Amino acid sequence: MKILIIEDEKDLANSAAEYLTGQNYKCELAYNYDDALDKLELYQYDCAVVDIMLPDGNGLELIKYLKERHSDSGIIIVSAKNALDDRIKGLNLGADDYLTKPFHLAELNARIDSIIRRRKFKGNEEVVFDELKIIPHSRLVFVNDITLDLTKKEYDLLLFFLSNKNKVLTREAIAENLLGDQADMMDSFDFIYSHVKNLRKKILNAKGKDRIKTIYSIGYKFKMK
Amino acid sequence: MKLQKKISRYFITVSLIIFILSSIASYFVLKNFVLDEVNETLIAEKNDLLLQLKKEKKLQNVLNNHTARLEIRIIENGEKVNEQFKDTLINIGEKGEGIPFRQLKLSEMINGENYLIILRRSLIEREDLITGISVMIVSIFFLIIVGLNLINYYGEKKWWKPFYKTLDQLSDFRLEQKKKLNLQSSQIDEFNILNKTLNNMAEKLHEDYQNLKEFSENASHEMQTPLAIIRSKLDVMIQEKSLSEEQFNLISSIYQAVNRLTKLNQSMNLLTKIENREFSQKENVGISELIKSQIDNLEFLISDKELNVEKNIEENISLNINSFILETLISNLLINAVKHNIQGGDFKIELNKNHLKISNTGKPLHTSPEKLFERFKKDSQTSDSPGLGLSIVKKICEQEGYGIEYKLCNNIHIVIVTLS
Repeated sequence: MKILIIEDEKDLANSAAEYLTGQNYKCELAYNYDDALDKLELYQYDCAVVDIMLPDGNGLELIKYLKERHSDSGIIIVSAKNALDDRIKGLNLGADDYLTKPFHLAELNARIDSIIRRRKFKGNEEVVFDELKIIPHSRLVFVNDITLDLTKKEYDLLLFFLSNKNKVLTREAIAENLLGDQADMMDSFDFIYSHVKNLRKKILNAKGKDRIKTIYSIGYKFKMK
Repeated sequence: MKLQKKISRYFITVSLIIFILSSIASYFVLKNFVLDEVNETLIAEKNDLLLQLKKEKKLQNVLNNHTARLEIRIIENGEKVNEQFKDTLINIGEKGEGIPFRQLKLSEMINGENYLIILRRSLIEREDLITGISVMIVSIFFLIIVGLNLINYYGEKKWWKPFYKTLDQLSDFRLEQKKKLNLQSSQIDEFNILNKTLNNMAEKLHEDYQNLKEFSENASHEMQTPLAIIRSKLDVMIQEKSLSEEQFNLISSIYQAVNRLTKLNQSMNLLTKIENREFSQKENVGISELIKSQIDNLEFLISDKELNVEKNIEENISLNINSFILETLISNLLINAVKHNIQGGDFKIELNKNHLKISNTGKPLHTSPEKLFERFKKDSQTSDSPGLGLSIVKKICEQEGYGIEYKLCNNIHIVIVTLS
C-alpha cells in the first residue's frame, strides 16, 4: 500500500511516515506543492494525506488534480482546527476524510486504514486477525466464530486497536478516537480504563487471547503476531 | 448638576449681589444728586427772595409773589442764624400725613430788619424716583433670570447637541470592532478640540489593540506547529521497544504536559476566533437533533457514571447560527454536565423555543458560579483543564445575543441559555 504525505512541516511529515511505515505502508513524502504535483504525475497512491495550507500552493488544487487522474485514491485532508471552509471545500471536491492539526499519528493511521478498507473491498470486506474476525460494514466482531456483543464505543476501540496493532497507544489518542473533539474537554481518562477493561473481559469470555497490554502510565498496546 | 445650570446659578448669584450693591450705591448717589439739586434750587430761590425783599418794602407782597413754601418772620432780637439745610417732615392736610421736605433756614439783615427765612422744597419726587429705580432694578433682574432660563432651555438642546452626540458615539465605541470613532466637528471650538482628541485617542487605542491582538494571535498560531511536532515525535518515540518503565513514565509526563499546552492553545485560538467573528457563516442548524446526537456520543460516559438522564427536548427547533459554534456551545455544556457529575447522579436537558436548560448533580462550588465564566477560572485548581470551557460558552452567548445563567442550588448545577 502506497501513501503520499503532502506536508510542509518536514518534522511532522517524517514522524508520520515513520509511524505508518511500521504498519505495512510504503510512505512517500512531498514537502511542497510542486513536489507533490510531480509525484502525483508519476506514481499512483492508495491514499494521499494532503495538508491544505502549503507554502507554494493550495492543497485543494492537488485534491482536484488527484480526483481527475486517479479517482480511486483515498484522500485525507489535514487542516488547521476551525478552518471549516477548507474542510467543507475539500470534502466537496471528493476527499474521503479530514483531520485537524494537531492529530495523533495513531488516528491518522486508523483513518487511512479505514479509507483503504472501504475503497479496496467496497464495504464487503472481512478483516481477519488470527482468532478475530471483523465485518466493518455491519460492525460485527467474531472471536473464534462467536459473535461478540460490543457496545458502539467498544467496537470503535477494538477497531482502533486493530488499526494500530503492536503500537503503543496513548490514552489521549484513544480518548480522541472515541470522543472526537469533545475529548479536549475531558480531564480524566478513567472512562478509557473501564472501556478497555470491558473489551478485554468480553474477548476473554469468548476464549480469545489477552492481547491488550497496559503500558505503564502511558497507554495500551494491542499485541498481534 | 449640569454645567450650564451651575454656570447660570453662579451668574445669578453674582448678579444678584452686584444688583443689590449697585442699587444701594445708586440710591445714595441719586439721593445726593437730588439733594444737591434741591439745595441749589433753594439757594437760587433764596437769592431771588433776598433780591425781592430788598426791592419790595412790604413783606406781604413778596409772600404773595412767591410759589415756594416759604416762611419769613422778622426777628426782633438780633439773633443770627447761619445758612443751614435740613430734612424735615411737614404735616399737610387733615390727615396730617408727614411729607418729606428739604428746608433752608437762614437769617438776613435787609433794610435794617432781621428776617428769619425758611425756604422749603418737597422731596416727594425723590421718593418717587427711588421707588421707580427699585422697580426697574427688580424687573431687570427678573428679566435676566427668565432670559437665562430660556437660554439654558433652548441653548442646552442646541449648543450641547454635539457634546451629547459625542457621548452617544463614545458609549457605542467598542475596541474590538474595527469601526472608526469618526466624531464630527461642530460650531463650538471646545467640542471640536474634544472630538479631535477623542478621535486621535481612539485611533491610537485601535492601533495598540490591533498590535496586541495580532501578537497574541501570531504567538498562539505559531505555537501550534511545534506542539504538533513534539507530539508526533513522542508518538514515534513510545514505539521504541527498549524503553524502560522509568523512561515511559518520563515520556508520559512530557506527553501530558504537551497535551495540556495543546488544549490550552486550541481553546485560546478558538476564543480569539470567536472574538474576531470568524464564524460569521450562518445557516439554520437543528439544535434538537444536534443535542440528541451529542448525547448519543456521550452515552458511554453517561452509562459509566450511571447517570439518570431526563431529556425534555422539543422537536425541530433550529437556530440561525454557525454550525461549528453551536456544536462547540452544546458540546461544552453537555460535557461539563457529565464530567462534573457524581456517580449515579442526575442529568437533565430541557430544550424549547426560549431556552436550553442543562442541570446536573455535582459537588458544591468553592467559588461563586458567575466566576466560572471568567478565563482560567475553575473550581478546583488541581484539575488538568485550563478552565476555558465556560468562557468559550459565555463568549459564544455574548456574540449570538443569548443570555446565559449559572445557578447552583442544593448541589444541583443549572446552566440556562436563553435563546430568544
